[in-house]
Amino acid sequence: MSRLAGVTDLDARRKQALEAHEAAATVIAVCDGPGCNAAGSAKVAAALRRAVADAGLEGSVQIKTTGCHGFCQCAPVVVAYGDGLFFRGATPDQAPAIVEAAVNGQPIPESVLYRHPATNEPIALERDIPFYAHQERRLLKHASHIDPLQVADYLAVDGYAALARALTEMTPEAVLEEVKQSALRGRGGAGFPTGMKWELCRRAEGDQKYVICNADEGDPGAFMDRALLEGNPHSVIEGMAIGGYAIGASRGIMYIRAEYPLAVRNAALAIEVAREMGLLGEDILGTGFSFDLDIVTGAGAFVCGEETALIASIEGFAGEPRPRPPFPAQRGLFGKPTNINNVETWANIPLIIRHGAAWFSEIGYERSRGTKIFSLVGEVQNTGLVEVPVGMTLNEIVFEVGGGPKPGRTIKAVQTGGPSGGCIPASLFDVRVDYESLAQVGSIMGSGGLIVMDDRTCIVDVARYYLRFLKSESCGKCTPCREGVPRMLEVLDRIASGEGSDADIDLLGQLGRTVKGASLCGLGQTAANPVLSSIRHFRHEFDAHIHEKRCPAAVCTALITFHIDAEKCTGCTACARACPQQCITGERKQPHVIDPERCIKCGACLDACRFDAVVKE
Amino acid sequence: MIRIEIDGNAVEVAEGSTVLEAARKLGIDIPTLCHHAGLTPYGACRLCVVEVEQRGRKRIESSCTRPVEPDMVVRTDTDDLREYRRTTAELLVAQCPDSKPIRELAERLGVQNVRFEGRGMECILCGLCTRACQQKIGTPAISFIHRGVDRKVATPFEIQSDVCIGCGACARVCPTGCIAIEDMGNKRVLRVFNTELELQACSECGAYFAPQRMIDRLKTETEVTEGLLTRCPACRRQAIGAVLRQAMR
Amino acid sequence: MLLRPLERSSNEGPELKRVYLVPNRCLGCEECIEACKREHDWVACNYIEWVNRIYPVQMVCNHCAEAPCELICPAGAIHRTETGAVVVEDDKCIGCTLCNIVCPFGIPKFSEEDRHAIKCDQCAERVAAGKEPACVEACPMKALTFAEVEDYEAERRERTARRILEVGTCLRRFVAKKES
Repeated sequence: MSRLAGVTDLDARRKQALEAHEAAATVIAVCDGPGCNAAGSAKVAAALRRAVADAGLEGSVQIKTTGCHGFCQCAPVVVAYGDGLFFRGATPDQAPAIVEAAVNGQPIPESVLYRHPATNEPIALERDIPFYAHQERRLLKHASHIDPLQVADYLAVDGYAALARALTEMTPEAVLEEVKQSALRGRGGAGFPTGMKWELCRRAEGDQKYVICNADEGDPGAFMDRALLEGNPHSVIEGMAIGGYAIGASRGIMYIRAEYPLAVRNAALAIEVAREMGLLGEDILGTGFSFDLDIVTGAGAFVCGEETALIASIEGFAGEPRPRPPFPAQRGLFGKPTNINNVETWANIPLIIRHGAAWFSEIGYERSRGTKIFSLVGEVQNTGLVEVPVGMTLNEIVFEVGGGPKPGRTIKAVQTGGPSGGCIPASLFDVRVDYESLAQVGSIMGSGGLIVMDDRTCIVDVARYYLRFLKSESCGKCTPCREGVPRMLEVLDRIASGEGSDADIDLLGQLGRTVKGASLCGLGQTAANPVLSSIRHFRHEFDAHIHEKRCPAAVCTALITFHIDAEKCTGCTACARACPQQCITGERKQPHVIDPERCIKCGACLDACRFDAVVKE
Repeated sequence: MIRIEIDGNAVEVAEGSTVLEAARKLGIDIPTLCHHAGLTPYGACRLCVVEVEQRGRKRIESSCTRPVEPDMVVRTDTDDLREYRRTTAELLVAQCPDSKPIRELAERLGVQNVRFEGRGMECILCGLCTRACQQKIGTPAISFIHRGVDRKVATPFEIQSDVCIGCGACARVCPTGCIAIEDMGNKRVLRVFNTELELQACSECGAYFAPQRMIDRLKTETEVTEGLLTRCPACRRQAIGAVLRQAMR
Repeated sequence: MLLRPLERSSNEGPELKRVYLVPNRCLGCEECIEACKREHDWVACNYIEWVNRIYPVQMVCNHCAEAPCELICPAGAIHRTETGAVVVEDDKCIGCTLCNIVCPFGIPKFSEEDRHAIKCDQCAERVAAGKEPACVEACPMKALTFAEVEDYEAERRERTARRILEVGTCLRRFVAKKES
């Protein structure tokens, strides 16, 4: 890859890339995100390449593996462009049929055809699928067009045009002003205005400054940053270079958790290519601006997402936070002014510079502008990565993009912001998903995890789950978090086992207030949110556990029993054979009985019964 | 000098001072456990939390770590702060039920009964010993290992330390007194850290007076005559006394 | 020589006062130690050493110019005050006892109870109030003087001269007696 001496070189390379793209009549994009990869996308891609070769179509059909498209529910996802034919759950043996459909336009074989989950109506084109149709894709717009390892793909969608524009047409102050005007706020969760953060760091005195990309995404069920880094690492690099220019930093560090090996690999390869092309390093595009990037892999501690802990981790110390001030903008990495933004924030920067602050902020709600990527998971029809305007209501996200509850179920709540966020009940789904509105209902925006729960989810159990997570992720430095979180968990365990009392709710409140108020860092200060918000919105479920010794969702094992409905039981013995305790007895073709004394409530009988005769309550 | 207001009283302190220092200058008692004037602020015990108001925004911060800034308004005794301190102290007692200093402190902060089962620890993980050892003595013999509830202070791999000089600073900064130093014959034993050190015998009287590693370190770090360092302080005084007597007779 | 020569007085600033001992005046009565205890929360910073079990020598911190204790203290808890005294800041002391072991004179003590090093502060409060250090004031034999080194040396010269004169007069008498 030869070095680009200036903007003309960059434009020439872009033209080249575009011409190469136009040469291929059909591009079949195979999603190689983690979900699709686990579902076998690599084999599908290989089979597709073989099928193309067998059909002698190498000249006109190109197979491309890309980052995450977002619709993980349909993994492995394959899309054929020109038109955008959508194939769900592709398998290697369907490859020839997919190639044929892609070339001829139709028909899509039934086994890989997407059908609307409610109406069962077939939908052939990607853009017609409700999951995509209700989104506003800006960051993910090219997710299915870019092979993360091919810089040409990024150039073809105007990649690095923003960097070129910033360096040649704008002063650092102008770049900063543009970012401020855009009203972009930190996508890591706290929502601090990005432009203001940059300005603090720019104004701080220091011979050396750093910009850091926080890719230590640790919330359970969140994968936005991972998808961006894996699928389009160049956009993050470009954003960081622009940030370095505006702030006056010549060095950048991407802090990526080691559990994201593909993100680490793709980012490292992208940095190498950018360096070879002269888009990183000394004298970028002949403008005299120098900026270089390194990757540091984190050992995967949730607390390292907190910026002072992250800095300590990069410096080689244990990832433990320290009190602020001094803020990293004043004294950060190695004591130098440092600006930290998360992956999604950085990825937004090139868009703002390329299209302008006005374009960016035209969508959004009140003080929250632009789009936000969420990982929509849990008990909804369509799980995956979704990008919507900030301020869309939860209703729209859950029911229109997410497709609503699974058959026969009702949605009860959504947890936003992961373990730092809160549980929002369905009755409040009119709430807009923006920083301020979510805070009002006791939750936070967070980095973008949206976990949907239906009537089979016990709120007490969910709160216990988050506290268990936080207990094991607390660094243990400060007393309220280290000692308080496990004590809250003890109390919840007591409630879940039916031994709770009303005093326990008060105790949870008192512990929660102290953990929230007195803890040292963001992890502790938000650790009580899942419990406090679920008590606030689902007090009746806590009361059912405490007073009626009953778990309404039939989840808390101490409060449920299994028995067999004699009416429905056919005596097939499937349950008795599955029972590890061998505590189900009964003659063949006669109703069976579970011995409650010996039953360990594992649920194996429930799974084994084909006649819905096993009852859990 | 920077002027701030604490609990309605104005106080002037040098730039770079902490809110805790300013409060103590006013004679306001703020409880602390992880604070030591000779060590860098840490902000871990969270007993010294105060409410800091700046430009109309209130934040709860640890006073031991918070540098003063002009026009800061600090409150040290609100209902919330009292609850935070009381709950935190209760949690500490539950962690170290047998620690007398902790129980006394908790009582002073209004903890009447402890609603949790004891964890049976003796250490409250304030980090004074690790900071003294790492930052001041400069031989990082001990540090925190594990995290969360499993966190503890130990030597690497919890075995005999290769670098501990046996100075005992860890024991002397410990607020709960849970680090014991025992001198037995020619050995100094730090049982909690599984570490035993040879003691130096005085070249004059033969008494064991300091760990050999400590003497070795002083040999490299000072210009005091080597022969002197292997003498115990009492024998040094004797020798000097004799010289003085000789010289001034 | 047992110890490296240590500069007695600071090179900068005004001449500073020290506690000096005239050894042959010391009776070993320990009044100075009692006075020091009263002044310093019942822990004395000075010692009486009995040389050859017969001769008492009062010993106290020399406040060395390049004080090894000050140089070695890792916590920066030992510093020199404006009056030239080398003092321990109790609340900064981390109790490493390095000062005890490094002192060539074996002077600093360590209080396990108070958990900090203890050494002579030359009675900072008394001196500030224009008084002499407690030990000097208490000595019934005037064996201790609190003076600047020049004054002390002058006094010592005079003392020695007087002694020589005494010895000379004595000799002359002896010779005269013999001659007569």
